[in-house]
Amino acid sequence: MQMTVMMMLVSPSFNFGKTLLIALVIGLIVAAIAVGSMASKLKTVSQRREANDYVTKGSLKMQVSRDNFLYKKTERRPRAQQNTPQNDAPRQNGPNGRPPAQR
Amino acid sequence: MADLIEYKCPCCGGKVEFNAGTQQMQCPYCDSEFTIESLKAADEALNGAGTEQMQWDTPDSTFSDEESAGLNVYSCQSCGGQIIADQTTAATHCPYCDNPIVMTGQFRGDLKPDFVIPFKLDKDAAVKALSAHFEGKRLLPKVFRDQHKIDEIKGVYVPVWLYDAHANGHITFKAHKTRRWSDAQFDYEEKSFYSAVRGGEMDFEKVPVDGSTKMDDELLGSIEPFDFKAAVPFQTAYLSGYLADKYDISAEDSTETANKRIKRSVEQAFQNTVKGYDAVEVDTSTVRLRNAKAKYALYPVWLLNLSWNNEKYTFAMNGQTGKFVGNLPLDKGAAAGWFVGIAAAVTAIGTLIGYLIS
Repeated sequence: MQMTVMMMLVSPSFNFGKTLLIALVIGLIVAAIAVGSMASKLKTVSQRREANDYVTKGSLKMQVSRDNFLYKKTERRPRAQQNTPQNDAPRQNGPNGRPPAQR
Repeated sequence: MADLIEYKCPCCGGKVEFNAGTQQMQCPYCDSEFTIESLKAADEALNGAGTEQMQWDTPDSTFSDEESAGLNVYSCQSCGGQIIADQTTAATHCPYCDNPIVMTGQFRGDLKPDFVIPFKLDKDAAVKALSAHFEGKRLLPKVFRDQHKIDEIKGVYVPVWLYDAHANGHITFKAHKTRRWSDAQFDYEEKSFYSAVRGGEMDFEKVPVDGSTKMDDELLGSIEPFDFKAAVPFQTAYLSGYLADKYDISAEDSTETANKRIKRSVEQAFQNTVKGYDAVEVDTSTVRLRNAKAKYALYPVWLLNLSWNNEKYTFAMNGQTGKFVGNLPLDKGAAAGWFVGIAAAVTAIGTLIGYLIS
């Protein structure tokens, strides 16, 4: 275990501080979710706001069902500039900058 | 004095109670069993009876006028002991001889319940369910398991109003879906917005609403659902051995609660038909309800009161299905320990994975 840690600290290609920070943030999030889930099992009393258990089976009859398109909104954010190697090919898009139509 | 019924065993004269296990009336002294039908005659006087004049005797004690105005006094037919109960108590035990007593005056005329769901589970089942409720709770203080004190376990028939309704709804939803892509310079996000219209109808049967201020609404709602198929026409014999209250919230006052629950269910049912979107929410909602006359029923509930560390905890079990609920205390030390332990473990593993990848 100590050897592993020493190797991590001296390795030139490994940024120990940055990796530790990212791992710590992930660890805190996972711990919060896990402990929150355990704590929620202690609370079993809550207000009943619906009556789904008392619906007569097969009584639901839909008479109107339509979806109407309203409008579309497109946003774009500039990508972070990266040092891309020579052999990376750019993503292929149409002349209007949009991706090929989905099939 | 109000009329009382005390069911006595014709064989030995002992107190006869409704047995949840056998669904019959049973004498615990000589083990004789009797069917509910054989005790129907005792209820004949309740049908078509007019309202009864209640003569109140208030004891010569320190009750104030306000306190005595809300109390009834009964005399136990077995030992003669005086039983003081509030206006809504309909079945109880004599505090002196523990004889089960049913106050028939609480069920005369319009007050007579239409249905009752008899207890299917007995007190032992409630105690076992309490122990099972503690299992698997990692953040429950260990001392709570060992040192809690059960103050009281009581089987109570809770008065409820049952509503049937035909619902006709017209609801519009706001929905959107998202598409993402990128090119060399930009990340794109396109959101398409829709209005989804749904209209239709659905029926509801026997939606229960708590008819007693003594029973916590949240607690009763948490142990639902009750299966109405097991309900039977009301007979006072079912109450023997248990506690019971008559309603003190009228059907008219309970209608709004029932309608709110029904409307919410209509919205959820219609929303489930709006598919293919990333997000859907109700925009406008019109739900018309046609309610049938509410029915009055008594539903079985086991209530357990515990005390620990100077705090009171109340648990409830559905006397028909066994569903058990009750909030438990949190061990903050254990929660902190788990949090630090999990965070440390994930951090160590994540750091190792990051090193191996590099």
